[in-house]
Amino acid sequence: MSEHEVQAVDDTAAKATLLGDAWRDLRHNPLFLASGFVVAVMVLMAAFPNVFSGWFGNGDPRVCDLGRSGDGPASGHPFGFDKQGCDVYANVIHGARASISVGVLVTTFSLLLAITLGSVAGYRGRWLDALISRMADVFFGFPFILGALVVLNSLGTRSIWTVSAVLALFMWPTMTRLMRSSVLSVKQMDYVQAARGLGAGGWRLVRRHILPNAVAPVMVMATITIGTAIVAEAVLTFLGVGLQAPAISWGLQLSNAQTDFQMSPHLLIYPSIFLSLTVLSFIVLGDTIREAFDPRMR
Amino acid sequence: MTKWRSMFAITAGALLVVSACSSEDEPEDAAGSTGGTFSVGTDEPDHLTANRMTGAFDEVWALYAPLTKFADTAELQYVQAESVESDDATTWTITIKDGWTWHNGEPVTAQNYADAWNATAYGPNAWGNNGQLSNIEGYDELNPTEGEPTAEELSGVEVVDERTLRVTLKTADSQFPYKLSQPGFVALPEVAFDDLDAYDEAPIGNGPFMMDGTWEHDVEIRMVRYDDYQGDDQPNADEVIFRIYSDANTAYTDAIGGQVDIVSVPQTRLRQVEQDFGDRFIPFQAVRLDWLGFPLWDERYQDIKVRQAISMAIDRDEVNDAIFAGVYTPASSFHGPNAIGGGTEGLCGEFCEFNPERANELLDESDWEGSTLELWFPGGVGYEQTFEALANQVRQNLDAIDEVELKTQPGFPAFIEALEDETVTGMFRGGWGSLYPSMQNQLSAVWASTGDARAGAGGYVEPEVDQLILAANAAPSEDEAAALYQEAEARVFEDFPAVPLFYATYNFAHSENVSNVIIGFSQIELTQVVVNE
Repeated sequence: MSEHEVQAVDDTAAKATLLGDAWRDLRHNPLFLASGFVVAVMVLMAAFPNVFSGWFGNGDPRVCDLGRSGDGPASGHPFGFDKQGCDVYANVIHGARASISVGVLVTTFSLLLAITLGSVAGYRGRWLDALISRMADVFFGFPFILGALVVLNSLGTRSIWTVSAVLALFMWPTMTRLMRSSVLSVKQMDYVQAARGLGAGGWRLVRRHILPNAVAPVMVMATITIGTAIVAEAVLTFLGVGLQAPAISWGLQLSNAQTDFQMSPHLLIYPSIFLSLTVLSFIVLGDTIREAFDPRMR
Repeated sequence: MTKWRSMFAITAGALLVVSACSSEDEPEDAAGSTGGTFSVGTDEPDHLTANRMTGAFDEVWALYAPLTKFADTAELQYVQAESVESDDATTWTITIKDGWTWHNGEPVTAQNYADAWNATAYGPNAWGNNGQLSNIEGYDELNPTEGEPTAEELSGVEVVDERTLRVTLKTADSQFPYKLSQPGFVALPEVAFDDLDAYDEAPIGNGPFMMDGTWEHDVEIRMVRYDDYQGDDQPNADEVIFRIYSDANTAYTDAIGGQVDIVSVPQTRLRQVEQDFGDRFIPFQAVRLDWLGFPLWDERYQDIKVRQAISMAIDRDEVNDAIFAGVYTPASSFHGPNAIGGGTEGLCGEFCEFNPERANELLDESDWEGSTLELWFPGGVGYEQTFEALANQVRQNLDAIDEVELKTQPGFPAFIEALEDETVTGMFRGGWGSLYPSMQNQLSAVWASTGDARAGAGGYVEPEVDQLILAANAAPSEDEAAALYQEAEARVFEDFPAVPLFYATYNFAHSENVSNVIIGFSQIELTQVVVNE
């Protein structure tokens, strides 16, 4: 009995941080476990597609037999063939890399921008804050898809990098706003005032005391942004201004399927399942983490 | 003596004039018109003035009457011309029919033709169909390679009287009456020259339909029957509306729903068109060739064996079935069977047959180095899947090739500019739909060193081919001409500058709202369309 009590006390003592509380909550949350598992699998698939795509013996997405164009599932080809006669299963597996890369790149780009600009705006305030906030408003005001369409249309060749850069261009304002308000509230905290009173100032104060405490909400937001960016890439590619062949991405597969899905519905179904599952997982993952980190939700 | 007067056309024309006169005061002949309104899906035209446009054939042939035309057969019809005659195939006398009027009531005169041709041929105007007049005496003075033109009028065009023109050609061309069927040879009314750009918005023509209002850009172009039209192809319908679509797929989907009546079927929809339209799908076997060209200015493609190897690595039947639902015909020459004088099928021999082993042998024997090929084509117009299939064929069937990069260009103008500037560095899309079904059209436009579409031949130049085409043009009979054109084509094949792929079709589908939809060599036969009750 007493042993138990001791342990319980220890536990509380060890995990009495925001991170610890959140983790304890999360590892018992089935939604978090399920979405985390899917995300882990998708990330592995993106990193090592050949490991997964070879399961049925036809793992090369670029081995195509035009004679089997549009055929349904067959032995060794569980998802059937696309219009070019390539194996749909191998293509869907290899498609994960482009989609997840875009999601991660977009989020990294916008996160870096958001943390830098948000901290400057929140900490320095005054005219810098006004300038950054108005800039964010300008980009925020653009209809996101329309803006991306216009910019991408004017680019000659489009790769994962360019598409990610353009998406990040339109995605940083939301995160920057969040970062700014987070920095503003942390700035007023007693421990920050205390550190300031002890003589800390400038970037040391920001780096050691403000950033670590202000960044959590933005990081959580970033997880959700990955999902949003994957959808945005698929939408733009579907509209013909995103990635281009010979890149392999779910957006491209859906775009190609739109003319043929009446004859070969499987071309639309499998990439859609993978796309929705991935996006859903990233968003649910972000959501459960956000709840765990938000003390008001307890 | 060469006589181009077709007895049949004249008899038919004369009969119609008689019947038109006799029924002038009577109510409209029920057999002549079935009335109603129908619509045609189209993309945004570049111009509506016939001589200026390069992408509005249906609109233009509704508004204007050509001198001569080919409908859906290889038989030349005389529309506005009464006769086109010559003794030596160099000096031509064109007589136009009496009693024709413009949509504003003014008579159509020989001077209208001369004015229009001078404007079309005048280089600085930069009208799209300028090249069609290039064999007329005096064309070079209006289109100097450098500097200002030294003349404003074609010295080879002479107005003899109200209804007669005399045209002198640079070189003998017995097929000149065929050429007159092209849009560069229509007449323009006097009023057009007051303000050419204003005219372009609502052209006054001499054809079966006249403008109803002006061209509403990106929306629609409305036309109504011109009651005083004198041609024997009186329109059945009262009204035709051209609905402008920015995407052919949208037009296609609208046609399924009956929102638009006649549409061109995009390549990407060929597999489902039978299911969607059944016997309302009309693939017209035009004189049209799709090919793969090579940048002959690039020394990597100088070796004929490289080009032959690529040709033999493509399974045309498989591509045709998978991408075009078997609608096209794999090509074994430049001209299919419906060209005048018969086609040239088989000219390509074993090099157009799918034979991967032989293809690999040829590539190994050749000077080819490297493992990457490029394939250039215009993007955004629905060719992506076609060229992906071709690239896959070449990549998978040639062992030495690991990668065929798709170089998608942003649209047709950019693609053609890259070809004309010779900045293309790999295989590229070639295609030519002959406006009149003579072999002369493609041979002299694409494969001759003076052709205005020679960019599509990758800069191919062969004096012997030029000589043979000139000899064929001057041949006294159609059979001799056809034989010489075939010889010219055979000479091109000795050099194998391009890979013939398909004898392509013009693919249209129509809604249940209309019937009797006939597709011709350069237009939909809009006057024939019957609007169902």
